Amino acid sequence: MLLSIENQFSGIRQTLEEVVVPHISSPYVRGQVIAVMEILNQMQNWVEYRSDLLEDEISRARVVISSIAEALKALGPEVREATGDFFRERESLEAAAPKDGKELLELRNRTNRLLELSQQLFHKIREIIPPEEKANIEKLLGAHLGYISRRNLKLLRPTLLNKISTGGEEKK
Amino acid sequence: MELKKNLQEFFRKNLRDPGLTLSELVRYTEGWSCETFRVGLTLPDGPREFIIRKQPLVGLISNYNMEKEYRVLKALMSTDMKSPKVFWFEPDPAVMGCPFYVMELVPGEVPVPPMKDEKQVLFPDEKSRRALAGDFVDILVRLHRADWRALGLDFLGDPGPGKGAARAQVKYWEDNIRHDQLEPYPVVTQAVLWLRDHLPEAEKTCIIHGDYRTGNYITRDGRIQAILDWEFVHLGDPMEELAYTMDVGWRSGPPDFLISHLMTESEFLKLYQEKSGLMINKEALEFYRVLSALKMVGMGVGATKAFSGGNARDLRIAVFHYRTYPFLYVLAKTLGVV
Repeated sequence: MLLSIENQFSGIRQTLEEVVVPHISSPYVRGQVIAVMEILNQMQNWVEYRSDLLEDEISRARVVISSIAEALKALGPEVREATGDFFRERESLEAAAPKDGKELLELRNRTNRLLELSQQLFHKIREIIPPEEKANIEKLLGAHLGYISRRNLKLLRPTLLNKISTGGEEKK
Repeated sequence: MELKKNLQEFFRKNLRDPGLTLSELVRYTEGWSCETFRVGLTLPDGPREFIIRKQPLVGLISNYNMEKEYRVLKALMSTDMKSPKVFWFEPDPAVMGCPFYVMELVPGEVPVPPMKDEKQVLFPDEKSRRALAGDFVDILVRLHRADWRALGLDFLGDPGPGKGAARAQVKYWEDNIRHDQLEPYPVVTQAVLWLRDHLPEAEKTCIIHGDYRTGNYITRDGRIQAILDWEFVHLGDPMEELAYTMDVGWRSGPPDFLISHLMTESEFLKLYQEKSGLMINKEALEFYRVLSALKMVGMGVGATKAFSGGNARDLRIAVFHYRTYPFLYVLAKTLGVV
């Protein structure tokens, strides 16, 4: 989820109220749009982030992070010490127990931030670790990034962008 | 009402005609970043029409600079470039809420490419498609040949020789994404690391339109009359422009995947090379293909930030932010992980 659910609900409501409703001359149509605002307002407390998607992303990212953590550890105590923040955050994330969808989303974001840090660390050590280990991490990382990109794309429904662009009018 | 009154005053002052009236103000729905309006004026000697390009309160990128766009278009008026004539730049937000400039209304139509899942062919007539394809490359070559120093466009920021242009673009888009992102994107991090490792040398530095494609020009009588939407204009490597124009997002669907719905990739590159005299650097194209994908993510992330801030009262921005997923997918694809 790129934008939070709260942001999307409140943004839609405010735009309808401030930009759309004042331009509608028909009281009936105005009432219909205000009804949409009301529905969104009521719906908000019944909607939550999909935990299956977030948990899936977290567990897959952890596999990549672990492989990089192992490579770092194998480089000796100096590297282990220099990357102390990385290891502390990893332990903290593994101990986390999110209570609801919002906390799970935050855990997903923290995990991805740690994955980004892992990618940067791997980039630095990739030429000094054994080639087969480097190849294995690259394979895991690529597979993870590819999987998440494909998965998120598949969640999208056909878009009405062109219709939105032309204001609903057919155009050549 | 206040907006119309302000604009009427603006035109009265600039056209030195205290009697003119603003008879029409229509906002176009096309254009996902800058706001575009058509203005109809009634003057004693007849009606006149203009186009206003206004900086959005928030849009697809964080750092809009309408003055930059205006100054480039003003400078190009002295060349044979197919760009719209511009008249005035107004920095004072008191008039329209944000800076804007006024340009000519170029008669014609903007061909809007259909979505990939639509069966429609944009240019079904072979002869007119070929004519447009010729114009498309001709105009691009003219832009890339333009002497930006002589035109006084140094203010766009010379990225310097060698790898300067590539380095500047990676930094620009990385900074934009980092500034706007509301959540981490590991695929972006991977792309930035790859790009930094593969910076190509530019053969020359030229003016880059930055969004050169079908959808951003006006046609009339089967020919291109004016190139629009200059908000991404900058100085850079011509290979950057070619790679962006060749991006999968701007192509027609299968089986031909025509560049900007006009010509095949090999036709485009051959024609550009012949007309420009520049060699096509395949490695640089590969680099800029990844950069173009990163740039698209940058726009999606920009839309996300814009809508989250509460200032974007435009649901099109909220819709556009969902395009970030396809953009992230394409970025992953250019990196070879899907």
